[in-house]
Amino acid sequence: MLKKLMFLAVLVLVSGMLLVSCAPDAPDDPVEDDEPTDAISEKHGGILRSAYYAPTNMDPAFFGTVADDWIGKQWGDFLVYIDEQNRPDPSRSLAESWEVDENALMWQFNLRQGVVFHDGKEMTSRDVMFTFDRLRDPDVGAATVGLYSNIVEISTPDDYTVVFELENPNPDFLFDLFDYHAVIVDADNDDFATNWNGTGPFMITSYSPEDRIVFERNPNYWMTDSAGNPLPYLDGIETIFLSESSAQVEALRGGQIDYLIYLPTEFIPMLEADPDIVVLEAPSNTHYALRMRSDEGPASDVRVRQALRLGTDRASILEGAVDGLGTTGRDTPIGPAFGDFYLDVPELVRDVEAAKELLAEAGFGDGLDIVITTQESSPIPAIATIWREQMAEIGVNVEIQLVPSDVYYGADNMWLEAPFGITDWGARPTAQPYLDLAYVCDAQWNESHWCDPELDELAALAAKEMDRDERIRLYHEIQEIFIERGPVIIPFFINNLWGASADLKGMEPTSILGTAMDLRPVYFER
Amino acid sequence: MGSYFIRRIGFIIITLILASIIIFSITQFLPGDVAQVILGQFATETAIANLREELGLNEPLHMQYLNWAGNFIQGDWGNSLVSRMPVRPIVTQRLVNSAMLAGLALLIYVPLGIVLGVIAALKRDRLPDQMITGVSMAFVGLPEFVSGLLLISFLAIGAGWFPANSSIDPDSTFFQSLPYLILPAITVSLTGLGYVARMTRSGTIDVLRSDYVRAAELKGLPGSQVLTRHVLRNSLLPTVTIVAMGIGWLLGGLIVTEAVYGYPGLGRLLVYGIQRQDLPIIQAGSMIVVAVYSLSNLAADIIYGMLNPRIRVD
Repeated sequence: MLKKLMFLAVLVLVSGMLLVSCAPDAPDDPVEDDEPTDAISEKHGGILRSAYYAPTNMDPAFFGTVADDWIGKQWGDFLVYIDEQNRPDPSRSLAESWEVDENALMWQFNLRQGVVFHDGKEMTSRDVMFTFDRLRDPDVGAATVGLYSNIVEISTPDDYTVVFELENPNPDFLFDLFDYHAVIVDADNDDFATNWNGTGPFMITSYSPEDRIVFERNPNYWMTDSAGNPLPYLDGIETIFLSESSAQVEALRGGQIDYLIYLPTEFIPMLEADPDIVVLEAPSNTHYALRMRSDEGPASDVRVRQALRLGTDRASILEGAVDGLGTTGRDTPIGPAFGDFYLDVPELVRDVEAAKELLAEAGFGDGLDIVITTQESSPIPAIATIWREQMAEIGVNVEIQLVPSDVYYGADNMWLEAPFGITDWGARPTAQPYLDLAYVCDAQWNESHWCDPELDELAALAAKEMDRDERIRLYHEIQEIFIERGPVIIPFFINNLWGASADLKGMEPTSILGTAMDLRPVYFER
Repeated sequence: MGSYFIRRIGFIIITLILASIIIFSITQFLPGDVAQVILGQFATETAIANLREELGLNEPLHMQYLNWAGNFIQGDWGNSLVSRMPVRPIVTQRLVNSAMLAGLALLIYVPLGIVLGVIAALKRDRLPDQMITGVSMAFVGLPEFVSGLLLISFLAIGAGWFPANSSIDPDSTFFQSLPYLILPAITVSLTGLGYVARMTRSGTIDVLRSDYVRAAELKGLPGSQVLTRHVLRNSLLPTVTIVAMGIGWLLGGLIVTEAVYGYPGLGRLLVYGIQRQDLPIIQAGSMIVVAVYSLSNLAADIIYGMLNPRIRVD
């Protein structure tokens, strides 16, 4: 009986497996089918395998995560492309050239001719107008409605000309056009959630929500390299979605993927030791702002804020929290990634005695107890812990209140209310939003409740100043105010990090635009 | 037997209906709103209201449930709210993947666990028993993200024998997938093995103590025959239950293992659905898991009856 049963069980299992193995014998990967396209040049060919988190939304108007952004940059193009040094680059933009009138209110863009969408339709001014009208339409409700509220009207004098009329001068307008939602879409598309008809270098051939996305090369792409060969070089991209960063890193180490667009700092030493892998780094403006409420409580006294700044050793926080993979801050949100706009002053030297004196002057000679609200996500708890030890030496007793990120930013707006907190601020292409969103008196997210009329005045001037030298001067003055009486300690700016197999070439790390590197000139070295 | 079978199937259907109601109700209590999840935290109120209307989220709850249930029975499992794609091909494809992994894991850990359990019982309290019990207990206690990452670093990256990541191609067959399945199967087997071995051990020890085994030995039957004919078929009863429960766990509960290896199984799909409050995916996925649990329990009861005729199934 038992033998029979065992036999039966094995039979069922084996036949079940055979069934499973035979059943889904679907056609092969379409990308492989196209193999016999003779390589155009020795740089052409190869499928880039990568891994990342699953996207949350595939409709450009509702992109929300880095994954969404990254996918959009493969199938789409932008009216204006901002390059790795943070300059507009017409050679990579759908607009060949542009001009602005003397009042800085009328921007005219001359479109590249002969650019086609993946379905073969030619891209014209109508598609560009449609894209931006959709992004600023309150009924569609994209996150960009506010960003583009300065646009009065968009018009199309002919098929290859688009004119934007602005209400106020905006020196950052070209950067705003490269906002990650502003992928130029087909005006005749009726379902942006499932139809990704763009003009970009790669076309989506399959997408499976929590599993993978597969792109193939757009054979009609308009861009060429300096030798006149068509771009992109790669035949396609295959990205698997992995929710665990350790799984992403192991897949790279195991040679199953060639490219990883986001790396947590803790894996860097291990990857740098691997001869088959290169780690790419670029400074960014991503930072963790240790902000102090300046309208009530002890930090409403500027002497207390200065004492805490003097007691902070930024270099050891940078080293301890993220293995030194970044640059120390000057306690202003405008970091070195912004080039000329950054005020390059020496790092504040830690001075325990001076800090204690300032505290005593402010009436806290016998010590001060504070509570800092901290998110659980790495590396924020490490920053808080190291800072607590540094504060103990100047007589400030710090209690760390650890909460999950969704609670910190949750319905109770803990991040806007707590007396002390550490908030992560992502990289943005321009400096102005940091001031407008968090530091002017009536800013939507004025988490430190700081209100300095002089700063407000300078920020308002900088927002509209079209003369670059004058704008640099304004930003420098703003940073001096932060250093003299600001409400934040910014210990460091973290670097963007990528991992790639050693034979992958042509990558240019970007300083400011986050992790979506330009893959058009990327190729495998054989 | 026939009427028993029909009754049990009836119970399974009732279980499925109740489970679908419970799951539907629980998802209503998840914090947040699916329209908000889809459009992101910065979308305008109008956009969110429009989407809620479009997704039918403004209808009364019981109507939402009945709509879903009516379509589900007719084979229309709906579209994913987040990706707008049809749910059925996604869920069935992940089910096939989970079945492949579960099949391989069962092939590894069930026979091995039974053999080890019997050896431990026969050598009770001596060195082999202590080693088997100790080691299998240690594996049960080892979290899958630890054992998984250890296996990856030694066997995949160190030795290079297996791929470090198991993101199998959606179209690949069982034999094409096999190299990718081995490490995850070993990882879950480490957990499953301990349970099977322990159950078999205690079942076997109980039976070895019984009078009929002593009688068989006394009448001069060789030890091997006593074991196969009299001991095993009785001692395996508790093991059958453990294995049946294991099937449900393997098909829907391998959340950590599937995440560590990037394996596109049903557990990972369910987590994805829950994180995004994608109701059609949650409902369809969990219906499958509940059905598998119920059916494997039914199978266990039938096998029980075959192993031990004293348990009547009529």
